[in-house]
Amino acid sequence: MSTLKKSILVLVLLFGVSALGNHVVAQSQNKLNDAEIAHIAVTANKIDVQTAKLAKKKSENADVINFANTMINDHNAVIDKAVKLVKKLGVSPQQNDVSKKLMKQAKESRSKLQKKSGDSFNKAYINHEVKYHKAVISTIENTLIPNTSNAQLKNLLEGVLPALKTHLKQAENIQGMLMDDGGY
Amino acid sequence: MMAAINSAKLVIAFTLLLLISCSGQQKKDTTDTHVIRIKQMSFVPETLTVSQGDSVTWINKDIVAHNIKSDSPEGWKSPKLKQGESYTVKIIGETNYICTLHPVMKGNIQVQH
Repeated sequence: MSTLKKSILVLVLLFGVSALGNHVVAQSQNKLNDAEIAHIAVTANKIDVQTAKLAKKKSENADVINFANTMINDHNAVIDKAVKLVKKLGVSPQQNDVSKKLMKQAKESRSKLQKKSGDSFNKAYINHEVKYHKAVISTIENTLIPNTSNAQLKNLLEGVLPALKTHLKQAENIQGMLMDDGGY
Repeated sequence: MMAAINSAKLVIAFTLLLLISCSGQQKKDTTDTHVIRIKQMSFVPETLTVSQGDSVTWINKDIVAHNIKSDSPEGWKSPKLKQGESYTVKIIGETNYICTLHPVMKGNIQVQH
């Protein structure tokens, strides 16, 4: 890969990682409320489930499929927990600029992934997962948790972090294996 | 004569008591059940030492499901455990194990003989 291509790739990755965080920070200057935070949390989990479903359809790599299955199961478990909690609290998750932007970005990412196949798809999907989990972890730690008023919602966000960090480690391990397999 | 017989009885009784007490120390006649909690995506404790024949119970405290798969020759594997569910195994020998759903989660069971 040429130096120029590498530089472009680094810029694209950096933009992707920071996009979610920047947007949430911008929105949080207007102060997100708990109903909006709940909507962002559920949306972020739904996005990863949808991307994983695409990976299950397109990949034939056992590690990638196993990872995608785990993403579907784990993020659905978090969604269930969040939905039960908001019902218990009597809160209706409110759509907001951040969740709308997240859905728009996710649609674009899935559309790009959809065009790839084989090894190229596996690498693109796992790179996306590394980037996405880094962004979500940073947003939860630095923006969502500090802005959440309700203790139970805050507990849920804190409780989800170890799973997200484990997903990131798994994705990075698979990323390394795919690199060893043929390089970028 | 009677004194000699009484002394002999005392020696026999003492010897029997000693034998019984020694045999108790050599072999544990009960087994224990140990608990490993699965929380925050880790096995707690990550390493556990048990006696052969003891049981180990894993309890999932996490929001997400986990399982346990041993690399031992017996090759046991639990079903998927949702939050609050548990799985118990009788330990025959030392083993490393992982959660196949999250392969970065690892644990080890040592057996003391």
